[in-house]
Amino acid sequence: MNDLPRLLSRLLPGDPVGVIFPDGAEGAVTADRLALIKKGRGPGAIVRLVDGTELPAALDYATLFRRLSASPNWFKPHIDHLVNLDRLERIGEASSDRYQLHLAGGAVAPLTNVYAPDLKSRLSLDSLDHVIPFNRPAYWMLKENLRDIEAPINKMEKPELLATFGASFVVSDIIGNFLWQFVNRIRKGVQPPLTGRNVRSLWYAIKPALSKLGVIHGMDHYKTVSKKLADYVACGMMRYREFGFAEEGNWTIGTRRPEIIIAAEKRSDIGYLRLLRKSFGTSVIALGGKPKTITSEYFTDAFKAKVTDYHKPGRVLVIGLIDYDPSGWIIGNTFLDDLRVFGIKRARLVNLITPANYTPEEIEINKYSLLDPEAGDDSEDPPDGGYATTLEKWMKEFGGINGEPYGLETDSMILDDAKVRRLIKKVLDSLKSKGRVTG
Amino acid sequence: MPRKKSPDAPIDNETLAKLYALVVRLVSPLPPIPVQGVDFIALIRPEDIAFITPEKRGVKIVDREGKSWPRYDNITKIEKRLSADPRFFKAHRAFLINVELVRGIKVGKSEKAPGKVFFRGLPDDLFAEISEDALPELKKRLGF
Repeated sequence: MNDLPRLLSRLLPGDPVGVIFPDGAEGAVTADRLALIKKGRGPGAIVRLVDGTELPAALDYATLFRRLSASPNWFKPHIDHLVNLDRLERIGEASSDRYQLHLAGGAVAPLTNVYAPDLKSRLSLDSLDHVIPFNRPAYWMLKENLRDIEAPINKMEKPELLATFGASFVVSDIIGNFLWQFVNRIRKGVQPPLTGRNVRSLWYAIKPALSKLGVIHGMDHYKTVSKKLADYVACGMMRYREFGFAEEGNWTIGTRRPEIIIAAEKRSDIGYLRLLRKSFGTSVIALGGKPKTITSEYFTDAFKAKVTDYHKPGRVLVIGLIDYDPSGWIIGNTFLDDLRVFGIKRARLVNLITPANYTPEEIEINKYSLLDPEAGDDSEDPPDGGYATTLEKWMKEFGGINGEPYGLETDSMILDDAKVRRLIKKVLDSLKSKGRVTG
Repeated sequence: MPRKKSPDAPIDNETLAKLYALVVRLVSPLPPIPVQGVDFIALIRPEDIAFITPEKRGVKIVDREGKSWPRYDNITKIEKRLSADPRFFKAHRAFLINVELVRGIKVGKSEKAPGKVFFRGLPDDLFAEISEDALPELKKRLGF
């Protein structure tokens, strides 16, 4: 019975609050009808009712705050807001590290990070990101509107498709459900995998059903199949391998130093990478631009089988032969992200293509401008609004060459095989001295 | 003739217990149950829950407006979590119901056709089941 005051506060969280109605009349609302109060212009306060009405308060914010916050049902999420916790309906993300509180009547209050632990404690929540226990596949099913549909979607006739997905169906919804159903049918053993084939085979499987709905012209839905599949793999709902797809295999796991991965940006460098692998015993991969998720999945499966302690800090190192420019930066980061997605969370990247590995003369010969004259970027000075966003960020991070927007191509290094080998050896020796490399 | 109590006299424990029981019938002593939405956490106050039943990947919480919310939990854990709130009653191995929102029951004829529990504000096709074993206790709580 000790919590009786708190329970009574839920029924009536404070004294009535004086308000001014739109016609100028003064009145009062009972505290249970309040969703939140917030600071208005100057010292004034605005009250927001549970029916969505917003009214100026008769008292100033500081006085109202003092009065209401004496009741245990009120919570301060932000310096200028006070919310009635009993009217809190949802906690949503405002951005990657900020939350918003959604209250009855559509009121929204920001949650400042410093108040988040108190909110968690008041509501007995383990996390503000998601509910615990969390079920990743079930969450993604909810998010992607995936259902457990029994009849094979790709074999449905038009009436059945319309009955299942509605007259105002969304093609990506059909494709998402088809992929989810297809992988589950493989898992149950009622559908053989597409061994040796590729993502296009999935597109050809669903194409007739989409054709019956008259939606295969005008848009490239193969891209939707490919994109949805990559998304579902990245969030752990399914694996490419489950479909039995063939993969180009522009990679090889090392023998003596498999935990070191030499990664080249260009696919055409795979032959050269294999020569390096022969010499150093490292793993190698030709990323082919931004690496494909299927390549990263197959590579990491083989890698983890060989390097079983991949999770140890400092164990996995990527030596990059990746262009020193914004695109190369994205490619390197995408590869590290992919490694993380597939469980290799602590890999580091050391890119050999960096001005520090060139003499001033070599830089002068090999540097190239990152400005695009066709886009009007013909001056070496930053434009008024700064460089294009990615270039700007890259310049901030790496500084270009002597502070100017110049980059270096991988080929400017690879042509000098002796130099590449010398630099790789230097990296390996430095790791050896720290006891991080076998062999 | 007993003397009339002064309004300022302290409340005795018995009255306090009655008051507490009454307040608990109106508002739950427990915090809201968080359920997963798409990019948000929804908070369902226990007194707004009509019933909870298992589904394929957890449980389904049906609120007093008939909205259905998923929670990736099992019914036993939820039952334990809500055990301090007297409004919840295990009507069937697959149904935890809020007695305060019950508007009627229909007694079943056999174990294979268990009884049904209907809720205030919800249509007849949104019901919970009640087992033969639980029926006497529910009837008692509903004042039969």
